[in-house]
Formats: sequence, structure tokens, C-alpha cells
Amino acid sequence: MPATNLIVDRIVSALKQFPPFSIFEEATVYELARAAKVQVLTKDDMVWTQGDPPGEEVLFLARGRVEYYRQVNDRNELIDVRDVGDILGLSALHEGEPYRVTALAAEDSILYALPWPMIRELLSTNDQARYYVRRHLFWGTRVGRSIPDAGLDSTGGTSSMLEAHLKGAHTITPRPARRLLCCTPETPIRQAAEMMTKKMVPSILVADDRRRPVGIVTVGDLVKEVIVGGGDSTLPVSRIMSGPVVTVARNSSTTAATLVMLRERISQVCVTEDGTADTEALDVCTQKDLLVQSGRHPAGFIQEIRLAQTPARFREICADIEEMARTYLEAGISGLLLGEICAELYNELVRQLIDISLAEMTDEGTVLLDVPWAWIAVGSDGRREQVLRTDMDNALIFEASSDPEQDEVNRGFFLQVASRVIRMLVDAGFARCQGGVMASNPNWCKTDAEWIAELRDAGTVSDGNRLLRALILYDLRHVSGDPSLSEAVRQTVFQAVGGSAAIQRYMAELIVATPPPLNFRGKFVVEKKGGNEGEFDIKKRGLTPLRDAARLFALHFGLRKHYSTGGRWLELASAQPELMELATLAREGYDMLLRIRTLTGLQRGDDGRFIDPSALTQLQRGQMVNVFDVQRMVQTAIRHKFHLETKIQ
Amino acid sequence: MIRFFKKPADPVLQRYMAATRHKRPKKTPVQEIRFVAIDVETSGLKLGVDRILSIALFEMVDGQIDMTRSRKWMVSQPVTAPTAATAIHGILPCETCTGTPEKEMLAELLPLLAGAIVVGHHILFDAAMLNEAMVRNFKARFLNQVVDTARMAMAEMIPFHRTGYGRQRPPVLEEVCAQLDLPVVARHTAEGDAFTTAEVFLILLGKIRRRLGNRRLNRRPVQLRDLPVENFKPNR
Repeated sequence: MPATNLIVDRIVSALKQFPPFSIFEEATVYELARAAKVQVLTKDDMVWTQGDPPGEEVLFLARGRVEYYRQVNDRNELIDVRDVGDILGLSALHEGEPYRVTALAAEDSILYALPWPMIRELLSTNDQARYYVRRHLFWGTRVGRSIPDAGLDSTGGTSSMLEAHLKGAHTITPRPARRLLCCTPETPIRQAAEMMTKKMVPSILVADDRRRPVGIVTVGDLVKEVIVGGGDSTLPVSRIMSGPVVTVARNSSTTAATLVMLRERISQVCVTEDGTADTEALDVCTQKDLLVQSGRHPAGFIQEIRLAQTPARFREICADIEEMARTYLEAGISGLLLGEICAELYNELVRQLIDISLAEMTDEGTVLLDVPWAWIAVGSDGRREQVLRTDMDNALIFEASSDPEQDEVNRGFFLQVASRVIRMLVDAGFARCQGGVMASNPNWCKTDAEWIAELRDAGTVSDGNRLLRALILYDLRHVSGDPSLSEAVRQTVFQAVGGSAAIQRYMAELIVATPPPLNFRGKFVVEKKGGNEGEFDIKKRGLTPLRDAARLFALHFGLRKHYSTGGRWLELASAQPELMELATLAREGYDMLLRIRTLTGLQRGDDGRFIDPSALTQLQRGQMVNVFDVQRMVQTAIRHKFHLETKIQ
Repeated sequence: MIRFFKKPADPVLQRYMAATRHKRPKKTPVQEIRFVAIDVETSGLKLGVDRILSIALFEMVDGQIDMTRSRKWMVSQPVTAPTAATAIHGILPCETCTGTPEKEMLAELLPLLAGAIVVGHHILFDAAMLNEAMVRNFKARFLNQVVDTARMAMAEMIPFHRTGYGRQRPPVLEEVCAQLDLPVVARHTAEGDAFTTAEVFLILLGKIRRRLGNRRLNRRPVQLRDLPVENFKPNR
């Protein structure tokens, strides 16, 4: 009996509680434990020093606490804390570079040293564990590395981007046969080209007398053979057509067809009855055609929204969009990107609903007013962060006439339009805005002159409610109608806030008022009162400060290209080099919080505002702690920038 | 004394004696010393009567307990009846008879002990038990220097400092662990106790290292003289 089983058992059971060891098979963990060395460190012992080459062992912290210090300009900065269950030294071994920090035992600690070659071998064969480990390198942000690609994540979902598409993928539905443009091999080139121009299609199918495809002539062929090659346009198309034609069957999936096109490097594919060139041609599909047909692809939703007419159908589409959001998030897409996709879709929805409302009113005999108007999204909608249908924030601008009474009449009309649109939005499953931020509310349906006057009013700062309203309005984004109206109001926002140190200062104070939700040991602070005690308010304590800071910076520096928080950070990074690192980290952090929030919301069927910290994985918790670190950095930057007195926390 | 008539010693024993006989200078740095933590479970506490039932050994290299160099043995003994000690360590007579014979165990153990300083909690008892077994099987004595973690704890930990009360006794392993906030694993099994002892030893070594490292003057690494090293002497 060479091995001492009891102790090995104990090491195994300690390891098994934490990833990546929890992912490995039990037998492998036993092997690791048998090869382990147990290190005992007393307080203030050095585990390793910054600049040391990595050894041959990964350390698992079984008891105690280890602190990472980084020496920057003769100063030792506490960068991170490792608790029980954490792995030490992985980044250095993984990257094969010297340690970037000094690790110091903060308490008496017990570490298990595990042979790195064995772990490396295990990681190379176990995908899930490898993904975990890559995410584990996250903390490297604090020593100047970037946050690893979110796409490698395996938080619960195992589906890939492709699977996300395939789940909702449709099969190809050929359009009516009369829409298929085809000609015989004998048709002169010029005539074929005329037919293509007339129908505005990029290709023409060359078929025999039984409509079996024999070749295809594309715009590219015409350019190459006739325009550049100087070929005679009276020759038959059979001289320049490409063949044989690549075909797919009528019931193949759109994704498969797209892959065929990619493989063959062609931009259209012919659909035939049985998928060979020996049967009748039904349709020719371009990439665009396939895109709108592929179920969960955003392009497909746009098409569906344009075709839909009834509230029930809109509701169905919105449910599908949320389903898409879920599969995308599980496949690891960025929360910010998803927000932008969904914003485009919901824009299209609102445009369609406005059209329907106007058409209905015409049908009912209401005379439409000839006053320019603009439908704008404000608040989270304006920032393109509304993935779920848990809120709506919108407003309306219409052009002021010189007569206040006429304005009131106009307002009445637009309120009527807006309430129809809002009603349909509610039917489609959107929740009414709790704060009444809706275009059907007279407070949010104003003339351009009124909006501008409100924004220019210096009294905004003194009144909390009005400031809140102003903050919502600062995020406005044009959705539909006359863009010049919304642009004018947006200009005013930048002028009014950019020129007012008082408003900026007030906004800055709001941002620093929320300290990072970590206690001194790096654990979450959770809600202690109210109905959600024990849970963590990710919106108030995580997202809001980062989002408000982005807005403040954007208004301060006049960065108007982007609407979303992520975009604002990006723009800030390129416009202000000294804030680049901060802005990049803030964007990544915001993105991660947004994803967690949206996923929680989808799981619970609410807005995902409160998350349960104990439900997070060790990894997610670690990441969130990192994000809050970034939040602290942002708040410090705000304090410096806007000259707030430093409070000792 | 009359060496001519003695059988030549077993080669294992010869190597053990050659490596272990010499005493190290007091200023040897501890990094140069091989420490092994051992613990024995016996059929009772009476020397000369009771026997070793199991023994475990953990080797410490470079301040680390090397799991690949740890061993344990169940020892077969001609003891049949359960004793009072059975209730403590839970080793039943039927397990005892399936173990390694005492002589074989020693043949495997001695190369590991050769040249090492043996660490244990109340190590003198363990050493005495081993000594008896060695005398019985090899007609040789236990030669290793030993370090008792109970004595180390009394020197290094304030709660166990000598008080002058007559009834003070060295702390037992549980008490030390409780003070060090160490979990006690598998108490009263040879491997559990040996492992815990090894952990305690390394922590106390760390304390000594820190104490010496903190000195304004005479800052120096830990040397053999800083440990309560004893030479085992059979008291019969």
C-alpha cells in the first residue's frame, strides 16, 4: 500500500469542490492528488516573487488566503486576493512567462502543488475545463492584459453560434416559379442582360426546354466576358455561362445552402426539385435571400416584422426575438452587440406600428396632419440596451407652429397616434414604462421648441425629479419620422450639458455616490433590506455607475457618434488616449454585467435586475469582482476629472 | 562487544546505521535536512508488551509534503484480542493479520528513515515502539534524531508556553491544531496523524523562520539548533 489513501482522499475531496477539477473525472483527480505536494505557508511567507520564472507546478489554495502584489514604480500595490479553491500560478505557466506579481500568504495557508505537465495534458483534452481556465486568466486585466474573449465562455450553455442559428433555421421555400428568371442557351447575351436589368436581379439561369438548369450567367460573368473581355454581346449566353450549376434540394436548410455557397465560392445557388441538375429548376437564391429566410437570423426577423399586421403576430415575433437573444447569449455573444441587434429589430417594429396606426386612422376618417414629427427612443431604449420586453422608453417630437393653440391641437393628434402605437406595443408583450416615459404621455410628447427650452433650463440641477427626467432624455436616439427634429434636440443636449459645469458636476456626484459593492474582503455586498434581501441589485450597483459615467464622458467631451454605453466607451477610448485603458476595461465590464443581467432576466422572466450571488459560478463571481474594480477606477477618474473632493471609503 | 561472534548485519540495517549514526553540526540549515513525519498506532501504551499495528510516514522536501514519497503499513502482529486501544484507532485483529510482517515493514521503513530527522507528536513513544521492533527483529537500535512537535508547540506557541504549574503537560495534537486553526484529519489513524503532524511541523517551522527573520540583529535562516532536537535514548 504505497499511497496513503486517507490523505489522498482528503486532497481529492478538496479539489473536487472547485473547477476545473470538478470537471475532470474522479480517477484523474486521484492521479493528480497522488502526485501532489502539500505546501504549508505561514503568514507573510512568499509563494513567489514578481519576475520569478514559473516552476513546474500549479498551486491549489486549500486553506488560507494569498494576496497578489504588483510592484509598480517602487510601490507595492495589492492587486488581487486568492481564496480557498483558487488556483495560483496558472497564467504564468500557461503563458510560459515570469510571474507578473508577487504572491504573499496573508494567513497561514496550505497549498497543494500539482504537476503542471499533468494539468496541461488534462486541459488539452478537456474542452470545458480549458474554457474555464481561459476565463480564469481574467484577473490579468489588473496587470495590463485584456479580458479574454467572451466567445470562449461556457457559462451554462454549450451551444455555439452556429447551433444558435441552426435551432431556428428554416428550410428553403422557393418563390413562385414565374418569378424565376431564365433563358435558353441560345438567347443572345445582350437580351439576357436586358432581362436581368429589368427584373433587377444579379443573375439569370440558363435552362433547357424542360427547365433543367444547364448554366448560370451572373453580373460578374457579364463584366468579365463582355465589358472587360470585349466579347460580342450578340453571341448566345451559352458561350459565357458558368456550369454545371450548383444545386440544392427544395427542402434543404438555409444554413446548409449558405455553407454550400461558401464552399463553392459562389453568390447564388439554384434550387431544384431533388437537389440535382436533372430536375426542374425552382428558384435561384442569393445570399441575401437565404439570410432573410434563415429563421433566427436578425435579417429574417426584419422581413417578418415588415410582413406582419396583427398584434398576435407581433407578439409571436417578439417572443422569437427573445428566444434568439437567449440562444445568442448562451452561445457567448456580447450583451452590447445583442442590444444593438435587438434595437434595430424593435426600431423596425415601431416603424411598422406607426405605419399601421396612421393607416388605421386614415381608414377611420381622421385627417392626418402635415406636421413633421420624430419618434425617439430615450433611456435604455435610446442606448440600445433593451433586449427584453420589460420596459419601453420613448418620446415624440413634433414641429412647433407659431401658434400655441395650434400646438395643443397637434399634440392631441400625436397623442392619439402614440397611444395607438403604445397599445400595440403592449399587445406585443412590452411592459408599460413604470415611470410613464412613453410618447402617449403629454409630458413626453412635445414640440421641438418645448424640448429645447426644457433642456436649456438651468433649473434642472436643483430638482431631483427633473434631473432624472433629463438623464433619460440625454440618451435620445432617432427611431422614425423626420431625423432633423431629433437631431436638433440632440444637439441641444450636447450644448446644454457640455456647457454647464453645474449639471456635469451633479451627474458626477451621482456616479460616485454608489461605492463598488464589495466589502473589504472582496465579497459581494447584498441587499439587506426589502423584498430582495440576499440578492444583488446588478442594475443599481453595477450597471448604473458605468453607464452614467459613459454618458457623462460623452457629454463632456462632445462624443456624439455613438448612442450605446459600449459605443460611448469605445469612442472615449479613441478620443481621449489617457482614458483609453479605463474605457476599454469599462466597456468589457459593462458588457459582462449586461449579459449576466439579460440571462438572469430570461431565466426568471423579469428584467433580471436582482441576481442571486450564490447562483453565480466561482468564475462569474471572480469576473464580477474584477468589474467592480474597474468601476472603482472609473469613479476615481470621475472624481479627478470633475474635481469632486475625495471621500475616504 | 565481542564483534567476532556477531552475525554480519543485514545490508539494509548497515546502510541505515551508516547514514544515521553521525550527528549533524548544530548550525546545519534546516533546508539541508531531510525530515520525515511518522506516527504509529499500537495495541496499547505499554512498552515491552504492546506492538505496532500500523505506521505511516510523510517525507518533507523543501518545506513541502511530498505525496509521492509517503508510505503507510498495516503491520501483522500475533495479537488476537482487541485491547482498549482498539476503540481508539479502530484497527481490528482481523485487519492486523492481513498486514505486512513486522520485519518486512522495517526493511522497507529503514531506508526511508536513513539519515533523516524523525518528526512526530510525542515522538519519544513512537521512537520507543520502533526501537523495540528493531531490537526484536534486527538486534539494532533506533538511531535517528527526533523532533517532538509537542515540544516545538510549547516553545513556539504562547498558549502552550511553560507556566511552572506542576500539572502542565505537553499539548496533544488536537489542542495544537485548534490553536493553529488546522483541520484534524482522520485522527487516530497513522496516516492522518502523521500528515497532521507534518503540517503542524511545517507551520511551526514557519513561525521560527519568521521569528528569526524579524530580528533586528542576527537575522539568519533556521538552523538545526533552533529545533528541539533530541537523541532517542531507550530508558531501560
